[in-house]
Amino acid sequence: MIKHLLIAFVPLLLLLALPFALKPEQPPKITGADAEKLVIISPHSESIRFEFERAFKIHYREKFGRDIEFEWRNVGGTADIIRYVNDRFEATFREWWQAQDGFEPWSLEISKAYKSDKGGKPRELFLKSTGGIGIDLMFGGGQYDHSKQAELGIAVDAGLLRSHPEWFKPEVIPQQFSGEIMYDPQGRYYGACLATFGICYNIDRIAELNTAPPQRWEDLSRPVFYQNIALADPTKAGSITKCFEMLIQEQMQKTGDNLDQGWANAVNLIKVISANARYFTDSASKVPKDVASANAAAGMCIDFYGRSEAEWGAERNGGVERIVFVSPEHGTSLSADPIHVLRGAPNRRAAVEFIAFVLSEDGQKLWNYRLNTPGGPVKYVMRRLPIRRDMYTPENTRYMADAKANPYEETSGFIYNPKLTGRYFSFIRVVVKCFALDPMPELQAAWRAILDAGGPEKVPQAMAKFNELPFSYSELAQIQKELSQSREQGALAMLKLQREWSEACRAQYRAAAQLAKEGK
Amino acid sequence: MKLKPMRMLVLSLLAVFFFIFLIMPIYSVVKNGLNPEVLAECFRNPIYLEGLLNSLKIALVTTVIVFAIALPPALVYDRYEFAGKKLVNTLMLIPMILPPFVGALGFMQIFGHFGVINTMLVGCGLPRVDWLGGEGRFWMVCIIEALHLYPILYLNILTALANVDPAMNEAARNLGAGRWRRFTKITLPMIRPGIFAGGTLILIWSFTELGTPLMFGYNRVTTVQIFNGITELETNPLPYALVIVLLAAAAGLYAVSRLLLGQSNTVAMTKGMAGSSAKKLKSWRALAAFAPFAVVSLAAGLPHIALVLTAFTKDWYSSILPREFTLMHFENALSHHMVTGSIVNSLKYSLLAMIICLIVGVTVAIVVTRWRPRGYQLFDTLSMMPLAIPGIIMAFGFLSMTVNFPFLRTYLDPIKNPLVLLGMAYAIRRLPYVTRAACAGLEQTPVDLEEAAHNLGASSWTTMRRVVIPLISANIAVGALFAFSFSMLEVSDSLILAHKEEFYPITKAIFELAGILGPGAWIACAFGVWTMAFLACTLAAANAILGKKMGSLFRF
Repeated sequence: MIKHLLIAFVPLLLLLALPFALKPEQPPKITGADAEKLVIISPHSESIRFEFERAFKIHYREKFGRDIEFEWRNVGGTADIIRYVNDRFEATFREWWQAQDGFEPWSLEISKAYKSDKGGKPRELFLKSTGGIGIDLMFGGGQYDHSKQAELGIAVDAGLLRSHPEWFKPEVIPQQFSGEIMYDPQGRYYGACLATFGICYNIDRIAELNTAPPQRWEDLSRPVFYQNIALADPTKAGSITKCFEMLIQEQMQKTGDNLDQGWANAVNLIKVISANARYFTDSASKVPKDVASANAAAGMCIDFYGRSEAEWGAERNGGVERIVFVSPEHGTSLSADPIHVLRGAPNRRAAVEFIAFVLSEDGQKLWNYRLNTPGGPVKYVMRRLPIRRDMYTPENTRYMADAKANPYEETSGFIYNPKLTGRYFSFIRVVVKCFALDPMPELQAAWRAILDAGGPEKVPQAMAKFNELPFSYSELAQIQKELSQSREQGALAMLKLQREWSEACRAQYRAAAQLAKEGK
Repeated sequence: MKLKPMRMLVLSLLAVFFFIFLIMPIYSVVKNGLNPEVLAECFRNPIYLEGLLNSLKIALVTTVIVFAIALPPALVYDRYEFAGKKLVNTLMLIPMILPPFVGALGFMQIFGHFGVINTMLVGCGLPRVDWLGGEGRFWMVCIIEALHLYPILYLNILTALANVDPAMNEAARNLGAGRWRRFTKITLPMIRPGIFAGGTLILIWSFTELGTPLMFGYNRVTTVQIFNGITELETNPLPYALVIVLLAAAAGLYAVSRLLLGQSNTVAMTKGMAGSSAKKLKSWRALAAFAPFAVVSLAAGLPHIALVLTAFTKDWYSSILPREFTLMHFENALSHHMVTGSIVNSLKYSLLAMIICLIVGVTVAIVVTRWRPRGYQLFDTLSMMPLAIPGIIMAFGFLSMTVNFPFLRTYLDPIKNPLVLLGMAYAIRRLPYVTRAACAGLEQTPVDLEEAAHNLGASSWTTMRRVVIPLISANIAVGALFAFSFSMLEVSDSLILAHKEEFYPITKAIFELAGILGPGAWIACAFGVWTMAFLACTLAAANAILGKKMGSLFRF
């Protein structure tokens, strides 16, 4: 029996002992028992958290002679964080409201009112409140998400525009670049690093498909890519919606004054790319991984995902790259990845200092410096691009992992015109959902039938049906208004409207497939 | 019937447990969808109706495949002795230890465009097949789910078969009944509780499974529609209404299964009387008996083999086997600062969950099969309900509950310490396994034995302790093993409820490691393999401890 138990337990104990034996010796703690605490909620990965925590602890001790501890809160991706933060703020404000004498009972109306600028007393009280949720900072996520938090009154002015005016100049951090917002003019959020969007492709798969490497968004619509494109779901990530917006802008700028035609070309291009897609994944990082493993030939992704995957692939393949990331020329904007202080931050002073550190030269070096370079990271290379323009100088780029990258130059050819699509940003999501995501099987069946019939030129009627749109660009304002009205009427009206569009698209794709099969 | 005060107290405690840890979290989330008009919208939209129909198709096909996979080996195991029997039986449990996130990596290495199977096809001069996409997605989803879920049915059938009195088969044979007749007239009716226990779990699990269709991009199924809706940036009440529809449909499926399989009026009263009648096989017959186990285990174990190889490989691309091996990923994973803490945390959460599952699950089983007070079916349904709710909904529900109810936040705040909350969350999700296993055990245990104990003057508690529990201990052990190992691999609750690194369980640590750019997936894979080995050793150690008890059931 003892022998039996030993045979069973010895491997278990050995396995358990292994991680403990391999656990590296902890460096002497640089923080003392009386250390301050900084609470940060973030979708950033372990690499970013590790490097910024390490560097800021040293900076804090050097500057203030005091220690600081970090508490990272991780509740999921950006959408989960926003939902969590907003729920907690609502609970905190509701509890405060209910504790006040003479206040009317808490209701759905009050819940709506405190979030809206037209919300009267509840809004006024919320904006005056200093009650927080025990979190100091939100670090990471898209500019859209941070701007929404600022509108709600959850992101508050950190005061850096006044304390560090030298950073907020066009030659250091422009307020806008190519129409994109790099920091909030009221100081409620600040871009910490940059992201561009582009195409990643697998060299072997491109060779196998016997086609040229994709260089522009349009290239992803080639018939040869049917079922070979990896896409992320724009309804999940504001950053990917931004990507689609860039594609729309690029197409609309090509047709000059004929905006209706530009819009139609763009939406139909999205439809064909979606028809070529293998899936719309909820995880944007899956796209370059699938391309690297050759399960997709190409995909749309954020620059640092593509570059990191390319580097890792080359490392495994004796220095030869398998995946390449390209920024479509005149087809991508520059997005900021911001940071903000939360209302009622328990350690506001340290939170502001952390933002200042991230925006300082020392902080900016961490984003792209190689390992063991002066001021660079010590464990992980991040491959993110610094937001400060003055970082792209020879004395810095010689230490950078992406030494040749200068996003301000690369994307300068692209002129983002916010008037064209800015107000329709959320609406783009609805368009992709109703035209491509919901009716995806029918969309793909129609495209397959068109391709089987010899391509769009051979079956013009089918292609015309495929390309039909329920509304033109000139009608967008009215449609947007209807959508807003339906939203105000309640979720149901909006759902009904979306169902009608999806159903119309499904019927249209079925008809297009039928026409293609008939050779028309 | 008037309930005794003690039973009243137990029922009240059960009701409170279900109210706080099941009803409240679900209500916290689905209240947004509790609108008749929004509910009606689910049925007006053909895309959602189609989703529901596809979910049903997946559930039915998967269950049929699982029966085809699990029943023959279980029968062979019960009837024959052959060389390597213990080993193949253990190998049949492989799917129970597949770690999350990185499991997909294993599938990609096998079924990917440049994966093992396609490389072999190209080697044979055949074209590559798009296993992960294209038209065959539906079947791939069903097959992969079946290969993951069959141990539940296999173990339940084995448990039931072990308690079929061989004398009954013997008697039938003496009366001239053939093999098929004995199987359909004696064995099948007698193992019905086991078939019901395992079959309903699989039917409902596959009906509400999210991960597999999501991995294959087979999106027009209800769970994926719920997931996509709930993770949208815009607020949308429809996914919450879809949860209610899914719950109702799952309850309907359960009711139909109960009607077809769950009536136990002819259940064999054999527990405690069965003996082994396995026939010894030699030469080619032993090999033939070995074959179904080998085929099923190999098919189910392919992703595991791929995972292990991936964790040790530097590069594996367009080749049948990896080209270069390394220990780098293990070194990076196991030396990471968050790993040791996560192991200790996972053990704490999972053990707590297992204990809660055992207490609540066995109590529910006794209420349902023995006490049968008015409305006892409600407890049965409540204990099965967690199976019908996507993990992410439950996780959001627990979070939302602690945010919105200050009195619960005081005791269950995940930021201060998520031990109790995660333990309860894991437990509620794993409760169906323990309840069903205990119910099956009790249904096969003759009430006469308990009556005899009472007649001899034993109190209810003594009868329970000395007669009932020992007789169903093997069933309980099976349920507990499922509860423990699936808790160790639980994803949704771990990701949503463990907010601080000091409280991360293993799955959250794997997720975090996977997020490291570049080699992250490989590092996570190495830690996943460690987890797999740890679970395998735990199951083996449990087998060693429970040796005789489990042996009498599984004949390990």
